[in-house]
Amino acid sequence: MKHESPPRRGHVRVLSSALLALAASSILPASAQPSLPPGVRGGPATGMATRSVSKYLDLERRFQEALTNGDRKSVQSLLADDFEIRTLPSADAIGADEWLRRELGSRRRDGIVRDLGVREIDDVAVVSFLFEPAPAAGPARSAPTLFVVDVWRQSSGKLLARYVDRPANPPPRQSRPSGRE
Amino acid sequence: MFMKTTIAAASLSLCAGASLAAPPSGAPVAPQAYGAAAGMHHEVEDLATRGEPPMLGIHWTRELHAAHQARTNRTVMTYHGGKIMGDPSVKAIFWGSSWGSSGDKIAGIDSFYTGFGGSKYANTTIEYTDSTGTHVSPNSTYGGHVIDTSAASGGGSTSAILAEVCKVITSPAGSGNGYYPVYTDVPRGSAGYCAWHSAGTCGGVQVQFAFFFKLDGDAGCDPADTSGLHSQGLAALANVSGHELAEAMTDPANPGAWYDASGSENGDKCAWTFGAPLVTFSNGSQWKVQGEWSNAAYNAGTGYANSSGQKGCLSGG
Repeated sequence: MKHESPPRRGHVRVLSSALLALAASSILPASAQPSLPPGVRGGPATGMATRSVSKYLDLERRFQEALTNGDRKSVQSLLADDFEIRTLPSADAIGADEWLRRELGSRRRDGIVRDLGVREIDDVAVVSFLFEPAPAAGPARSAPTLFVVDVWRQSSGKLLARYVDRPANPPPRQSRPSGRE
Repeated sequence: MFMKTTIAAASLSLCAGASLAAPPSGAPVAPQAYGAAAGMHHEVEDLATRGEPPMLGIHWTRELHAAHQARTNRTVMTYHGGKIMGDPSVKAIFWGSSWGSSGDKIAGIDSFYTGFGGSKYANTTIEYTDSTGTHVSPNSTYGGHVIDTSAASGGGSTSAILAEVCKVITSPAGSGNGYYPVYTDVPRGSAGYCAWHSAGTCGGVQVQFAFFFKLDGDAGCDPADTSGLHSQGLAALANVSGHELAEAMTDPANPGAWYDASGSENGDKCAWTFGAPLVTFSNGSQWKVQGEWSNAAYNAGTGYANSSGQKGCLSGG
């Protein structure tokens, strides 16, 4: 799945940007030198999301919030009748009832959905994202970042399938000013 | 098989707090009435009803206060200490070899920015203040456009776009309130964003700037303007131009100014929602532009709902 993710091409972008800046500095008078402050906000990573990204960010947010709140009714309303999930440690499919029993019966933490991508194929939307649980308080170990792929039927707004994996080296979250996380 | 691919990097924080019933709708309170009070931390909801004295200083129970704070703080925008824009000084840059023949886009963008200043739409931003209590100014001026027919780069490099701004804007506004939107002829492709804004300096002078893809025939960035007043490409650019300028006015630079706990700015929080079929600008031009977030309207329950059902968007119509 194609993914416009700054961290994966980050080093190439940084090099390209550096070369461009170097070239620009050699031809521009000193008075017009462009300068980006360190840690500048804005730019591609925080741009105006497309309709699809906005739509599925909102949908995934509602879905995750319902799971976190233990709102079985809301979660079920978003699942297709034949919903299945495949995740570690077994790659076998788990149906909605079993999955909900496990999910809603365990303590879920707040978290961040990031690096969300959408691919629309006819009536299906394949949505991928990284889910980063909030840091654990006290001595409890923080849960790992997960890579989630959701398959939605667009016409019904129902989740057909979910695939979850735990990447060994998830791309780092981009640094942001304090208060944005 | 028809496939559309839109990919983006985005982050979003999720709220696990208890849900609360929405406060009862109060008497309509114009955003301006909140003024500086709307600026800092919204710890009190306006439960005023028409004809009744305002109910202020609500002392919530511990549980409700914590949950209310968690929910409110994630919904409203808060101030992060940075600058806001004074009177924006706008000059559009059209970059790319195909701008020699642009249809209605160049004249249309000229009209858009000419009419933006002093419009009700621009006024949706004025409730936000900086640390001195100074409000965002809606009184933008438009200094026309520049066309650069050299080959444009895409939006992946912020510094490349800033370099273009510094190249063609030889005398940026000395006030530091210059805003230079760069309209390229580069199609969006698989990028998950339509445009973005940022800030930097040219020769030591603070500038704000924005990048726009060519949005002709791009359903992912199309407001679906059926008025017939503008070409599809111009209508798309106008909508995202409103989004980016409103954000640049309220959260222009580093450190940031106004955004919510997930990093969403006023334009983000109302993206792809339209409170009015067309919004009339100060020069009589009409545009289908998204709403902009208002903390004041949200707290008063007088805004229209964004895609999350939060009634804090103002159409400016």
